[in-house]
Amino acid sequence: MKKTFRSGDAEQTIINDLDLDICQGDFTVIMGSSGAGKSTLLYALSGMDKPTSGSITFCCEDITSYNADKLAVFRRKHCGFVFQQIYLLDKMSLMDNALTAGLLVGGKKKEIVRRAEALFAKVNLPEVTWRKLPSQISGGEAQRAGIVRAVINRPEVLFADEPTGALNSHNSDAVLNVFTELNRDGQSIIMVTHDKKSALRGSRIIYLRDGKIFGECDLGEYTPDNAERTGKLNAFLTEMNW
Amino acid sequence: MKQIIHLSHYFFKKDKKQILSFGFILLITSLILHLATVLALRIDPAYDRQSDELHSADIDIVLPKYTDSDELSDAVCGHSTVQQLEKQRAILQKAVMKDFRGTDFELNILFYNWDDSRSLHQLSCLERSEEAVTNPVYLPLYISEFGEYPLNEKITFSIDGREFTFTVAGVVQEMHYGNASAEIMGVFLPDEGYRHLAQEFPGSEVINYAVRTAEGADVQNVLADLRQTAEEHHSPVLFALTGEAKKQSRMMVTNLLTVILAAFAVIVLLVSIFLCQFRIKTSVAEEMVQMGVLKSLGFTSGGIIRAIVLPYTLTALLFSALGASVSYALLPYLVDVLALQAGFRFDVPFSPAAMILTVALLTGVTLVFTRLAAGKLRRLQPIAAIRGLTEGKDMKKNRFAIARTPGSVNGVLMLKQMAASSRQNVLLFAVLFVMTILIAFSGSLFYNVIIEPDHFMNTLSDESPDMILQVSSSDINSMKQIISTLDGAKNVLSYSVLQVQVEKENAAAFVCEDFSKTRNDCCYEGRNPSSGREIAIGSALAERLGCGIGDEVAVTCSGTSRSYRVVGLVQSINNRGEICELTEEGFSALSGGEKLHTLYVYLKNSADADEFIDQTEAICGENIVSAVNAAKKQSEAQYMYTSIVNVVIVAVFTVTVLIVLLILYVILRSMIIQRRQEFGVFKAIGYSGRQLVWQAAGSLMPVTIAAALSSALLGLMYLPAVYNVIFGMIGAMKNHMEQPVGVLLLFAAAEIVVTLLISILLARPIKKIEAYSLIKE
Ligand SMILES: Nc1ncnc2c1ncn2[C@@H]1O[C@H](COP(=O)(O)OP(=O)(O)OP(=O)(O)O)[C@@H](O)[C@H]1O
Ligand SMILES: [Mg+2]
Repeated sequence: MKKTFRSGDAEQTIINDLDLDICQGDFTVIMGSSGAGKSTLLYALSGMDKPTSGSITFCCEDITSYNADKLAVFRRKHCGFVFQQIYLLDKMSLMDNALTAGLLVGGKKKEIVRRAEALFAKVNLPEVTWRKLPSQISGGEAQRAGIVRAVINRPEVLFADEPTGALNSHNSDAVLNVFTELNRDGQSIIMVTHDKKSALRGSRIIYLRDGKIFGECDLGEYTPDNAERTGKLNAFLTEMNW
Repeated sequence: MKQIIHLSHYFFKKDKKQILSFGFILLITSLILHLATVLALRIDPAYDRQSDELHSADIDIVLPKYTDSDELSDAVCGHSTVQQLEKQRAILQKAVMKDFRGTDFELNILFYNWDDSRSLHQLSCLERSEEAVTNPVYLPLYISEFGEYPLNEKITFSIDGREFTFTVAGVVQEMHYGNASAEIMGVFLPDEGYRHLAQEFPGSEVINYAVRTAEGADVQNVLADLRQTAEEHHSPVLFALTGEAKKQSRMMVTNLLTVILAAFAVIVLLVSIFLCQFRIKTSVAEEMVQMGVLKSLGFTSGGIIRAIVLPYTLTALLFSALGASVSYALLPYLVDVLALQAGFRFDVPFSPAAMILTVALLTGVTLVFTRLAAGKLRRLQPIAAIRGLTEGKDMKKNRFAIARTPGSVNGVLMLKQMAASSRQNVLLFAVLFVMTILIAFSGSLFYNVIIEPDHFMNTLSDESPDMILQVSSSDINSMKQIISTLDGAKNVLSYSVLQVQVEKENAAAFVCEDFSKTRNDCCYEGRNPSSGREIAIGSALAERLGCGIGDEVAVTCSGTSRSYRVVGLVQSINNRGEICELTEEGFSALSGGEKLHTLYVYLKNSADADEFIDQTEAICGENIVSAVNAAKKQSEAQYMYTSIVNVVIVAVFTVTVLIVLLILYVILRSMIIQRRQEFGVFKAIGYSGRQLVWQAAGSLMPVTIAAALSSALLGLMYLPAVYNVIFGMIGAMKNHMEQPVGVLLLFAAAEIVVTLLISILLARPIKKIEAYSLIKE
């Protein structure tokens, strides 16, 4: 795919003839310097934005030609999103945030409420917390609620753009643990990050530069305190001039 | 000061479109208010000026010429308040004007001699035929324009079954008589035609005593004195008219319209006040942090408030001046319609007073209310604002929890959105509530004037059968028998209108065999007379004679007097309340068995009055003096009101749609700006643009529906009061207007649908918000 932006007269190529396969079940991490086009790639992959040329195929389905409404339906069925700024809907409780997404796809309300409750339990948010409004909770709690909202529809892919960017290290760990756990249960994840600690959770690291894949590294499954993986990643990032 | 202007400029630029829509609403307000002000300030003086220019008399009394004498005129002149008397000769005939606006119109006509010189009731010739015409007649403007007899056209009067055709040689401005609602009018024949007519109808010559009274004299009292004087000189007063009465009837529509426009303007003004309050409060909330920063920079509260208020005040000044100017483009059309009604031409020159009044009022109101709305800035602590501590105050609870609220997720989200925006709900409710007052009023007019016109017409008119038959046969009863068996006839009543005197007052006597069978019950207190000793009297008579139900009054007709007991009060706008009702039995006792010869015929709904007239004339043609299609005459009169009501309804709907459009524009624009990010999140989650548009529009609907329905239903309570006031202005003590729930709800429903459509249209920009835009923030 290729993605260009036009600002005024100048045309800027952000993603340049990039060719990438993403595999089911992987925890793919996208890295690169600021402005490399990581977010641009992520949002193109997830059907939030369209590539200038080229195509994106999801499970044999070409989504490039979809119109806005069709893309919306595609997103609600197949994609989940976690944002750096979290973006919970601030006028409703955490539970309602999750249900706003969950009920969009359809199904019995009771069943979906139960699924949401189970997910909140999984991310360690007790009922007193998920009854609260976003303005009444901590950043880590908010991001975990964001993850519940993102996965409630059992999406094929969970997209995350610097999910720990706004969190302190304690909260970061909690969020990353949720990601790891989800991935173990078979959830495919594509995550953009700047942070080595976060990247370590991934099974496959992709490094972007000048709109192209500059390097790639296979880390295998995450296990805590694995010095071999850490070394491998360090070496890769040094090679990438990070 | 420079800083404040700079800041003001910033506020204006930020809210440009919303301030402009406020300006447009103010433009509409100003337009309507200015129309009302000009009418109120200009037309009444124009009428008085015209009257003065033409030296109108204050009182006119018509007497038979053979009873006139120098002694009588000396006696009249001798009255202490009579300043000037002019005797004007004329021929009085009850005549039918053929093809008056497409129908036959019967009324009393005074044929004056055009060549007589006059000092009172002067005439000014507006148009005059260039060439000599045969049988010339000079018509007053009202007859020429409203009756549709332009210059050089023919006009035919049918008098006593004989037809006299004249050519309109000129159109004159006169301020002597009223308009169609008066029962008498004058036309002017040159000497030759006058003498010819006088020969044809010897003994029908009358003298009009045109009297000018001293300033400040009580005209009603003077009139009563003059009646007395005439009586003492054995001269029956055939007609009496005061300047006040004719002004009332001529200016009725104008006055009504002025009041309605003023009410209209107040309502729209309320809307614009709500709007600027909403905008300023929202703007202050949106800019809380900046306000805090400004304060920390050393701006005073007063300075910031002035900077916020300034753009609104300037907009108000500019747009109200603009609206007032635009209204000058509309005035000529409005004035044309009114002039047709009032029977005199007035041009509306530029009125600085009306302009200044309108602009000053609107600008002043805007200044006061924007200052009030911005006032809460004074209490704002800079640090609190910067830390955002003032926010989140209104959102502490998760309203409409999705798990517990039944319904689809889209529906629940609408409710959530609605619950989260109380300020917007208040504005929407207030605006739709007041706009629905207008909608309900026009719905009610629509029902009472167009669907059930009898409600309206019966309030204004007297008894209205389908056909009025003058018969010559001495045996009126056998005629009645024959006609009531004809195809299409529903009912036939003997019903005549005659002149009598109640005590000293002239009055039209409605004589009917059985008032319970009439169509239009004009009794507003007590009941109609049912026996030979009973009478019901008109409101004006009751007031002037100072008598009420249970009193005895003496009625005089051709010299005989008899006393009756008042059993009811009746209204008649046509006769300005100077009427009475007598039973046939009661009247014949007074008139010594004089035969009545008018029949009122009521037809079945399906029957056609014209066909029925043909049928009647074919069967008993020799006994019929005249047959008038009263239904047609009524529907002609109705046509005028119908077209006015149609205009009102269209105007109300246009203004409502415009205002709702502007208000929704402001609301939805504020909403889209405030919730931009939220919409982006929704899109990222997978909500489609259409879903969000419906959600935004739908979140306005509960409030819209509540406001429209509650206001429409409240209309059931306040509309009767409104009608009482309006009809009270023209002297109706009771009206037949009804408030149908169905029609009010239908009009409210139309408003709701329009609101929904406009909201969907205006919420469309939500579609353009991209989920993708989130990452750029
Ligand atoms: N809508 C747009 N119009 C013009 N240029 C854009 C637009 N969106 C992104 N860009 C440009 O594309 C480039 C890549 O942006 P992108 O957000 O993908 O970077 P990134 O790799 O996510 O950086 P970061 O790590 O700072 O988030 C940037 O130079 C940015 O200025
Ligand atoms: Mg980025």
